[in-house]
Amino acid sequence: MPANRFNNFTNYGIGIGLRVPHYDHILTEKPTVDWFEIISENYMQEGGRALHILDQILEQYQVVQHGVSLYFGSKERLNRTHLKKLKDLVKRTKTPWLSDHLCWGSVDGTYSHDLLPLPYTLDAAKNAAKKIREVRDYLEIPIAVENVSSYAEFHSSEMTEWEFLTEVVERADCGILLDVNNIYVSSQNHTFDPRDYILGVPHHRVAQMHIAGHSKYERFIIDTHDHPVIDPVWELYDLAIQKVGPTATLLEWDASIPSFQEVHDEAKKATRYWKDKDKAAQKKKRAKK
Amino acid sequence: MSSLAQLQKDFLSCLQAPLNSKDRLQPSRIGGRWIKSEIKPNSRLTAVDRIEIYARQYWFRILESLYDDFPGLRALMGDQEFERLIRRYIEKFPSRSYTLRDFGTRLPPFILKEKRAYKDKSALFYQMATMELAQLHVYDEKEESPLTAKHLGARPLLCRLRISPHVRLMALDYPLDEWQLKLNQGGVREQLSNGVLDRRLKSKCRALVGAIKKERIYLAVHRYQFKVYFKRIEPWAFELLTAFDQGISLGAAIEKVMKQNKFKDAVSAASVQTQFQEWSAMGWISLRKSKK
Repeated sequence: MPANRFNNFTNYGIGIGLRVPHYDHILTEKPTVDWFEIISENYMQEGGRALHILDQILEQYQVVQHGVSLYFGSKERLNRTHLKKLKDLVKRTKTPWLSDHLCWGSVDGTYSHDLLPLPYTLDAAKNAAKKIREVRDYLEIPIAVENVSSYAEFHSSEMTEWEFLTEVVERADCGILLDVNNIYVSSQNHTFDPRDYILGVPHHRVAQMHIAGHSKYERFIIDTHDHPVIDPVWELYDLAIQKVGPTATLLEWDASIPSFQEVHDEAKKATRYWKDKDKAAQKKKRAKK
Repeated sequence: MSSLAQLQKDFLSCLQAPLNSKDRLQPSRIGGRWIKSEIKPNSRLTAVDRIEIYARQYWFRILESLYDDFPGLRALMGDQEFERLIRRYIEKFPSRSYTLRDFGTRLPPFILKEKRAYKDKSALFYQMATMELAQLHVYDEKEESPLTAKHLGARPLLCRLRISPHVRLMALDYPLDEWQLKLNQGGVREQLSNGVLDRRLKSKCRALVGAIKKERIYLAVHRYQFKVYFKRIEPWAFELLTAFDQGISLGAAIEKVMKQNKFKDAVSAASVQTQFQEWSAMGWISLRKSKK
């Protein structure tokens, strides 16, 4: 299941986000890393240091693009100029798939710079699916949509979040970037069982997973990406791997970023669950023989 | 229940409404009734509390980006005045780009519109904001390859040139380049970008602001090997580069500058040639593409 049409039949391992404080370390020490995830918007310029660094990274590493501003859920039309820039970057990175969020964030060309929650309605699902198809057709690569953390729910919602995600990806025929930490954060904020979420999504569509840390406040949790992954999130990740199989996984660490080694070590903890899963699969195979 | 388009419009309006002095939502200003009709409360948070999480994130994210982009302007204005300015700016000019890199683009003209509030300091604030914006933009603009004799062809004086995107020219009434370099020393600029200045740096900052004196300078803000630099240029060189950028041919631009009495003693054919070679080598100028 890990290599599927939603991640372009790749078999990537454990990746980390390419972040400015790590540039020098990566270029001088050349550490062994399965792949880097880049935030597309940080490299959609005409020139400068970021692109220069990216080109050097591309000579040595596999890179996957992750975006924050396609806003599949926004009611407004896709911005063609933006898509053109994105396609130029796709050609540069040769990313096997491209991910962005199942959310909205702009109205009539005015941007919130946030990943805002959608009402879980059929109308919203149809709108998002249509835009995902448009993006995929234009960029000509597989698209994976990520579930976001949310802090608000709408009266108008007609289904659960995982039913909504399923509705969207089935209609768009696209992949899922399953963010396990986001599921945990939203489950705490909206009081649902996160295991129901993981069990409820179409596992064969999972192209990639995200893990991350978050910040807990008295009355809610915020998805801050500034801590190590907590045990309950690792437990959910274990469940997801059991259901999906070892899948390209990325640790997000975007604020209070520690050393490269610390981030990479935290990410590599994910392989513990892969090994168990691999052992179980081998055992099953032997038993069949 | 509203349509998806209307719901998104109303939701965004809630985020964009100014927060109160304690950075809380003001439901009376944004129609608290709408929030209650659309947003579910839970056992820990009211509907307004839930929207407030997003509203605070919206304001803090954009404020932080402006703090990061305009530390010199903040030092000049002082914390309170700067914060008042950028909050008014965020309210007046919401983001029209997918990237926050572009968010401050309209700040310099906005400062001029607020002229009455800043009186004689209006030009100083405007020029500082323009210079900091130029630094931001040249950092990742397209770089042109050096201009060679081959590019200019057989009739170079008829060529029309332009200033490359990774170079910005500025005529300033204050030596803001030197001033900013002083500000960078001792970690003031870094602390200004990050948020809070400690007492020692606050007084250093105040002393620097007090010492600023009027002086006409001509400046190029440019990128070289992925770093942004200031380079002072002669008044005639500024005029020549500006003439290139206006689309005047190379020969006509040189003639225009050399004919001026004020540059009589400063400019010669040799100095123009030396400058031209330097600008070409650094990729500051490139051939203007002819319109077909």
